[in-house]
Amino acid sequence: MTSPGARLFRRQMAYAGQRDGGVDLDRLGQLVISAYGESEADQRRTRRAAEVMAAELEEVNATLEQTVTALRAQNLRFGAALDNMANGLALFGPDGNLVVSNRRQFEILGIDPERVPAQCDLQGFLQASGVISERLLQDHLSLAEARDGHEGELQQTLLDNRDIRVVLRRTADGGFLTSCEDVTERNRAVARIAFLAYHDTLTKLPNRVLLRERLEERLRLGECAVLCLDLDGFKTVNDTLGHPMGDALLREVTARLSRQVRAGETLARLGGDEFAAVIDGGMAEAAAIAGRMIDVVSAQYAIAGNILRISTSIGIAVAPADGRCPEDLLRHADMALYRAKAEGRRCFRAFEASMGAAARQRQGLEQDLSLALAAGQFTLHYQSRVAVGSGEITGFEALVRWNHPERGLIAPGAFIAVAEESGLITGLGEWVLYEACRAAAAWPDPIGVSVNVSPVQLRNAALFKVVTGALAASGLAPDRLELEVTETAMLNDSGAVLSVMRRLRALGVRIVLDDFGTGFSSLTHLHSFLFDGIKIDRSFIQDLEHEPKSLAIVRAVIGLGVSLNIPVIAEGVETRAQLAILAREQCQLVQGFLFSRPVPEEAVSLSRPARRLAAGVG
Amino acid sequence: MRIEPIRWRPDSGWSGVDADAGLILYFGSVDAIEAAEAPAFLTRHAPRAAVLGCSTAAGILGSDIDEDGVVGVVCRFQNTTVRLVEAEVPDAGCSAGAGRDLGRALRGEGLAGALVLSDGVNVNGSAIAEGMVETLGMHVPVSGGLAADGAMFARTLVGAGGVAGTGRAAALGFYGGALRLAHASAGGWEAFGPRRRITRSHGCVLEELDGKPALALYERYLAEEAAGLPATALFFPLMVWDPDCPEETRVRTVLSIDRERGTMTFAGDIPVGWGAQLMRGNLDGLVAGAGMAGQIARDRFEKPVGADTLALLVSCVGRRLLMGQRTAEELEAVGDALGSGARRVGFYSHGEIAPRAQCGRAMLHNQTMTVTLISELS
Repeated sequence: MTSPGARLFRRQMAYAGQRDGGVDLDRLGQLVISAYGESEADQRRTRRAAEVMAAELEEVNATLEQTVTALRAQNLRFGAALDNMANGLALFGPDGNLVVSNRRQFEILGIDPERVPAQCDLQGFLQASGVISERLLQDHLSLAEARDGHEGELQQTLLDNRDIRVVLRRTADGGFLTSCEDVTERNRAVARIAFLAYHDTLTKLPNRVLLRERLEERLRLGECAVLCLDLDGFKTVNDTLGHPMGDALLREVTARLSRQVRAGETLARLGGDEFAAVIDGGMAEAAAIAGRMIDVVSAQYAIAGNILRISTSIGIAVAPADGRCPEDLLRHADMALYRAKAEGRRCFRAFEASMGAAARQRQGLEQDLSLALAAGQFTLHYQSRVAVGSGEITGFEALVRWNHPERGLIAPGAFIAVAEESGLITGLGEWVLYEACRAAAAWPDPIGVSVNVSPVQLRNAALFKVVTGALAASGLAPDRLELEVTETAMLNDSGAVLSVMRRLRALGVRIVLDDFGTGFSSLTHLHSFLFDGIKIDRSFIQDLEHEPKSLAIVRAVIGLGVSLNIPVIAEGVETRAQLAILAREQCQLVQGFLFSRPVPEEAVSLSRPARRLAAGVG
Repeated sequence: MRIEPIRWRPDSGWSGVDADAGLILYFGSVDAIEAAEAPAFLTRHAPRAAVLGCSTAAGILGSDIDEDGVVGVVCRFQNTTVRLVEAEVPDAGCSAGAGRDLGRALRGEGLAGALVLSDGVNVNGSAIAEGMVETLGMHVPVSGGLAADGAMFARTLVGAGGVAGTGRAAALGFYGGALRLAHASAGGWEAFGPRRRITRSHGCVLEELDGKPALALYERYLAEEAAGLPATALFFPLMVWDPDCPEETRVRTVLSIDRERGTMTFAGDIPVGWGAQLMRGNLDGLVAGAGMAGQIARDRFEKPVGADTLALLVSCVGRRLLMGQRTAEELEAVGDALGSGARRVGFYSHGEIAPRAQCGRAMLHNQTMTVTLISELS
C-alpha cells in the first residue's frame, strides 16, 4: 500500500481509529467524502484554469496579431520613408551582418541588389558594387573597423567619378549604421564658388585676389615684373556699341594677351578694362613683353561685323627694385601706367621714383579737396556773356575757384578731374549750383547765370532734385539758369541722362552743349535733344585768325546753329580781330577776356562797360 | 543536543514539557494557543527556557498535521546558548525597521544563526528579512516564517516568552561554535499562462498586471472560488522576476485583498516593471518539491541527521489548502528524505524565510516547503 491513494486511506483509517481499536465509520465516511470533494474541486480548478488560460492566450494571440499587423504597416511606412530618403543608409548588426539597407544606398554605391548575398557583412555588401575599387573598399572597411570613437566619415571618388561622403556611426547594440550621400554636385559647386572667388567670370582670368596671392608666391622666388594694362578706347566701344560688344572685345583682348605670357606667369583682369600680368625676369623681359602686348592689342579686331581698333597703355614695376610686396609693386606699376596714359597712350612706361612724388602730391590734393568745401575755401567767379549785335550782357558763366590756404587761388583745371575721380564733385557741384543761383537772384537785371555740370553729376539721378532745390532756395526763375553739359556726359547711359535733361528743360532751365568740336561732335546728340545753345570750344577761336581750318569749323558750327535755330556761343574771345571774324560769321554770343576776366561776385556790375566794346564791333 | 516533542490537546492538555529545557518552540491555531495559555504555561513550567512560538494554519509534528492543538519541541543544548528578542510590527511599513531592531538585538559573540517568526497579516516579510540581513550580515543564516491563522488572514499571534500577541516579531539567536545549521527551500509549483508585466504597484500592494486590475484576473481564474479570496488566491501563487535577472524568480503569496480598490496585498515586494506569471500546483509536484527541500537540507548539513537533529519545517498555507487531506504526504516526503531519526516540527505559514540558495542572503519565500536543520557537534 504505497500509492498516494493507499497512503491517504491509511491516514483516514488512522484518523477514524478509536482507542479500542475499532473504526469510527461516520468519521471515516466524512474523511473519504471530503477527500473526494477536494479532488473534484482540484479537477474543476485545473480544468477552469486551462480554459481561462486558453482564452487568455487567445486574447494575447489576437493582440499579438494586431501588433504584428500594426508593425507590418509601420514597417511599410518605415520602408517607404527609408527608400525615399535622399541619403543612402545601411544598418549592420552586432555580428557585422547587414540588417537593413535602403534603395538609395544601392543607387549611390552602385550596388546591384541581386548581387548582395542573403547574409553578408560590409565587405560582402561593398563587393557587390561595380564602382568601388579594392582601395576604396579597404578605406571603407578601415572606417568600420576603427574603434576610436562613436562616429567617423570619409569622402571617396567612385570609379564613375562621382564623389560620395560616407558617415559611420556605432549603434548601442554594438553594430553600426552607415549613411552615404552623393556630394558630386556639392563638390562641383564648392569648386565653382572657389573658382569664382579667385577668377573673373567674363574672361576666366585670375582676379585681383588671386593675382595678389600669385605675386606674393612669385616674390619669394626672386626677380619678377608686374605689368598694369589699361585699354585705350575701350570705353568708347562699350558706350557706342554696347556691353555685349565690349565683353566680346575683352575676351578677344584676353586671348591675345594670354599668348604673350608663359606657363607659370600670371595674367589677370582687375576689372573694367584693366589687366595686369606677373612675369618672370627683370625690366628687359618686361619691356619686351609690354611691347608685344601693345602690338597685339593694337591690331585690328573684327567682331560681329564691326572693325574695331583700340590700344593699351602699360605701366611696369620690377621686383625687388620697385618694391618687395604686392601692394607696392601694383601701386608703382599703376603710377607708371598713369604716366604712360598721360604721355600719349599706346606706350609703356617703367616706374620711376619721381612718379611716387607726383602721386603723393595728387593724393595730398585729394585730401585737401575733401576738407575744402566744409572749410569754405571755394568761391565763384563770373564771366560775362555778351550779345555780338547789341553789346548787351546776356548773362554770366559761374566759374569755381579754390582758395587754397597754402597754394592760393587754384583754377578748376587743376582740381576738377581729381574731384570727379574721387567723387567729391557731387558735393562741390551742388554747392556751385546753390551759390550761383543765390548770386544771380541778387543781380539787379534778370539776366541768366550759366553753370558747368560735370558728367558725373549728370549721371546722378539726384541732379534734378539739386537743381530744383537751388532754384527754390534762391527764388531764381528757372529760365535764368543755364546748365552747360559736355558730349561726354551724354555718352554713358544716355537714356537716363537725356531724361534728366528733358525734365530740367521742361521746368524752364536752359541746357547748352559745351566744348562743341572737341569730342565726338555727334550730330545725333543735336538731333536727340533740343539744346538752348551750342558753345564752340576756345581752341577753335584761338586759331581763328591764322588757321583756315578753324575758321571753316567755326563757320560750319555757326551755320548748323542757324539751320537748327540754336544760338551759338564762342568762348575764349581775346582779341578784337577774333571778335570781328565772329561778328562777320553771324555768331550771336561771345565771351572772353576781351570783355571781362572772370570776376568775384561783388565785381560783377563792373563788367557792364563791356557793352560798348561789343557794340562797337557791330 | 536533546530534542523531545511536546503537545497540547483540547481533551488531554499538555504532555512532554521538560522543566530543564533551554528552548521551547510551539505552534498552534490562534484558538488553541489561547486555550492552552501556551506561552504562560510553558514559561512557568520551564523557567530557564527561551519560549518562542506562533499561530498557524496547522502545526507539524513528525508527519502529523495538527489543526486543533498545539505542537512543539523542547531542546536541551550542551554547548550552545540562545537569546530571544522581539520587536513591534504595528503595520507593514514598520517591517524593515523591526527586522533591523531584531538583528541589532541579536548581534553578539559566536552568533551562529537565527530563527525569526513574525506577525503574518500586516507585514512585509521581505522587508523583515532584509532588515535582519542588513544588521547581521550575510554570514549569519536566518530562517523562519510568518505566522498564520488558518486561511482567514485576519489575526495572527507571535509569542516570545510568556506573552503571545499580534503586531509582533520575535527572533532567536544561537551562539556557540558547536551549532550546525542547514537550510533548504523548494516549491514544486509550475508557472503557466501568459507572461505578464507588473504595471502598477506600491510596495507589497499589486494594482495592475499588463495595465489591467490584478484582482480581476484572479477572480476570472477562481470563478466561484473567488468568494473565498484572499485564501483561494493561494491556489495560484504569483511568480515574479526582475527583467534584468530573469533567472532569479521569486514566488509571492497573497495576504489580503481590497475589493473596492481592486488591489491585492502580497507577503513581499511586487515592484513595477518586473515580470509576473501565475503558478499552479499539482499534488505530486508539491510533494516532490517538499522531498527535494528535505534532501537538499540533508546534503548541506555538516553532520549526519539523527535523533539529535531538529528539523524545523515551515510550509505555506497555500500548499495546505491545495493538498487538503493529502498534505501529510509532503511531510512524509521530507521525513523520507531526512531519515526517520530527525525530529520534525513546524507549521503552515503565510510566508517562509530562509537563505537563498545562490547567495545565502535571507529572504521571504512563498508557497515553499522550507527546512532548517539544527544540531550540535558533540
